[in-house]
Amino acid sequence: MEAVPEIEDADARLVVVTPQPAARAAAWRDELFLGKAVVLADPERTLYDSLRARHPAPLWLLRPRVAIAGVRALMGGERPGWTPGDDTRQLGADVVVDRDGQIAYLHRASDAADRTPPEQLLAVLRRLDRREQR
Amino acid sequence: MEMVERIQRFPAFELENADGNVVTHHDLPGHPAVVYLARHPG
Repeated sequence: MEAVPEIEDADARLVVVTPQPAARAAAWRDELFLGKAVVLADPERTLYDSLRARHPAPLWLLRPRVAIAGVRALMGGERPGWTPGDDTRQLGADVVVDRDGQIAYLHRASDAADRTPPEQLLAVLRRLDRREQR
Repeated sequence: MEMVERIQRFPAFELENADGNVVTHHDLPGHPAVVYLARHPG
């Protein structure tokens, strides 16, 4: 989430979706200082399913980069949390959507450490901006 | 980078935000958006 200022500078919205209930989403927003981001709770994982977000392969916790990502998340203020009905194996996805709601970029994580670098998301936003200026 | 194949439009949704208010896909257009679907933190 270190790219929040750059995303807002690009006149784009940051929408953060969590697969947990709204109460957890509020706590998460405050813990991670998400600024003006729209934080949505998707405990039924409807968006996750629609976008076909993945679940990890067996033994994924043994991957070194997953362990490192877990340590980084804890050091960054993220706190493990679980509420009844949660799918604790749900992985994330990164999406860039244009002004008309068309998907310009979609990446489905293959494990907990697999996220799109912020500079890559910003590059997609810049490409959209150039396209709209033509 | 994984290019979009069959999903071309961001799916319709109706979800609660962190304040408990309902937000839908109708609220997104007008600005580009980066949508970060978080993994479960458990």
